[in-house]
Amino acid sequence: MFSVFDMKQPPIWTITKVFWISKVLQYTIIFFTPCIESQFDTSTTLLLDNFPQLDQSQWYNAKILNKLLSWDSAYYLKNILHMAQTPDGIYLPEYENEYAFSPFVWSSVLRFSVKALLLKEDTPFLLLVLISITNIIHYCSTIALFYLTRIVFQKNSMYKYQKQTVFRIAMFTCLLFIFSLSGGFQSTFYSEQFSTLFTFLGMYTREYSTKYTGSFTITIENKALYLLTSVFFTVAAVNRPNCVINGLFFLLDLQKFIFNKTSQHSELKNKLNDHRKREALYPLFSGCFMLCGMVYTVYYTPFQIFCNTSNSADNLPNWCNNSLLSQLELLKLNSLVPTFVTRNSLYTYIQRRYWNVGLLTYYTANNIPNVLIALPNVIYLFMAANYFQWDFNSFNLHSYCYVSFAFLIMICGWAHLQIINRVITFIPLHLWYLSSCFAKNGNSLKVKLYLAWVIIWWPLQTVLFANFLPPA
Amino acid sequence: MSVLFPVEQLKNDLKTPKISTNQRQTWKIRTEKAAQIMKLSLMLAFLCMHFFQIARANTETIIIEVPSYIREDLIHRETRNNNANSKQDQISLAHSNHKTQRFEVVPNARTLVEVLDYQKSSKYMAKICWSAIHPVSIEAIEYEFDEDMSLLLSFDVVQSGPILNQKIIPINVSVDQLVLGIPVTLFSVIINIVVVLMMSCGIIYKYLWKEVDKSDTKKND
Repeated sequence: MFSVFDMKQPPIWTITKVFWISKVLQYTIIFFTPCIESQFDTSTTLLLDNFPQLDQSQWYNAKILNKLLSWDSAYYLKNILHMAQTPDGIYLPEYENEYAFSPFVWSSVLRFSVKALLLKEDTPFLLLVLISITNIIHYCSTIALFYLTRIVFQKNSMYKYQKQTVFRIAMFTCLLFIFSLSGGFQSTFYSEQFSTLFTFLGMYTREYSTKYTGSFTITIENKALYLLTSVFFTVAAVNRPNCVINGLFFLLDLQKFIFNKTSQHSELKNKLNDHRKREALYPLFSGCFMLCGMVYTVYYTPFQIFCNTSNSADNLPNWCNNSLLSQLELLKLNSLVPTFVTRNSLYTYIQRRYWNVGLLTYYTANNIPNVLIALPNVIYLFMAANYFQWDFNSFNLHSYCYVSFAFLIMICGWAHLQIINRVITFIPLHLWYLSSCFAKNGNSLKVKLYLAWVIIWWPLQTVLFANFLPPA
Repeated sequence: MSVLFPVEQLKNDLKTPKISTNQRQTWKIRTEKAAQIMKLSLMLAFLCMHFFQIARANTETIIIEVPSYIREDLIHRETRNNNANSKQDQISLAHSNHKTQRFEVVPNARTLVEVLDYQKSSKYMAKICWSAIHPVSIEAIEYEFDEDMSLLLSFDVVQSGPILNQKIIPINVSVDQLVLGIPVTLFSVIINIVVVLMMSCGIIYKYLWKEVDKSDTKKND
């Protein structure tokens, strides 16, 4: 046996070992689940017959990989294999609800990867390649999280942690991330892993490029890296729109640059303030870049596809005609908003129409079990944000707390609550909270309760997913 | 050397246990723990089973109750002369208590499937599954026994959003017998879930709770 907290071992080597052991364990669990013909929902067999290029005869497909085509995997697979090419050379999904499954980012990345690696789609290795790419991305996210955690806790302004403690926190965070409550969703080609990787990369470049010199005082030391953060966050957000809340980092940085005083001395104060005003342009530009990226993918592209056609207004979808422009005419603000910015985006429209997503629409009696399985993550993230905001008193973690609070409001207010288990992966705050509790006290009850739930839920959710059973 | 009468021997055995008290206590604790693991696993498995009631992926179900007064010759395909050449979609449960069959159906029309070879005084769960890649939903599932006691399953395949590009949609119709209120095909899944849960609970008892106990003992010391 090896110790994961042994500093003599290179951290990447330890992470690599634990990560791939976890994957072997997870796919072994899937191997022992009943075959797809015995699933409660037998629609995977219909899906496979629809794509004859997926060879079902190979043992690894029949015993493992075909079982991973449950729930949203069917949509991703269709987007990868079945998007039709328009005369402009753009690949588009067949039906409007399929636009919710990242057709222009994650599905396209996988489609191009398959073409580059396999040259043709009708090979028995297709699912193997798709799942391997996702696992490699998950592995890279774990390594990115290790270095992100290390830099965050090394920069800590209040507690000067010893190297050993920071190492323990970073390694324990990675362990919790590998065995996350996402369970079976991590084993297949969902789009969350891609956004998680880019969010962690963005958080790392932001941490690396900024410096906290006092209470609420931030300086940008590496401007190029700070700008690169916006690229990473934009990729994460256009892939999964819930990652748009990463934009709060730029908003909070901007607020720190604008409102905080640095020096009592008037001359020095003026000089510093001029400098700070110039520096404020970086979060402003980064935020604008992210906003433009979001507007382009969430509003402009769908508007061009669905609303800018020769069809009469009656044949257009409802959301096309519901322009924000007409509502702002009264306020004389219509010149500020382009026509393609509609009141509801295509994504919002799809979520509402096909999955009944809306403000507090989720809270019905039959969803009580789903709420129960979401509670551990909700409670721990809330506790983490509360702890790092008020008790821990480390300035560089405050932005993460605001992002976490915003995420909780978004998930608890609008989403299907149980999806928190798989979409929370891009927020590391609750894992940091548990890791710092663990670093303080190895027998912490909070940590043990979470670990107990992980030990139950991680394999159980894998089994449920491989059997095409809820929660989705 | 005294030879004891068998009853006396038995009495002696009972008086002087071969297993020490400590061993017995250990076994007792282990048995209690195993029982707790079982209880917890079953409770969690029950919670999982509840999910079937609240959310199903691309599946709609209906429970069919077959009355006891049906004549045997009307149930079986071989003895049903009148429907021998029926063009209706049929699904037969001959020599089995569950069956899944694929049908190509026309959307926005009523679909009829005849179930044959069912057992009288039994309960069945009929499932209709469709693939998520076809935006349809299954509505108004009904079953009825007609005049000659044919079991007819009927349902609508309705487009649930955009206009369908396909004129024919493949669906799976399954009929599973219910045993103790559970479809027979789910037993393997339930066993799978219970085994995994028992292993998880075992790991928690062995590695997490044990350490908590130790730490508590240390504190007490």
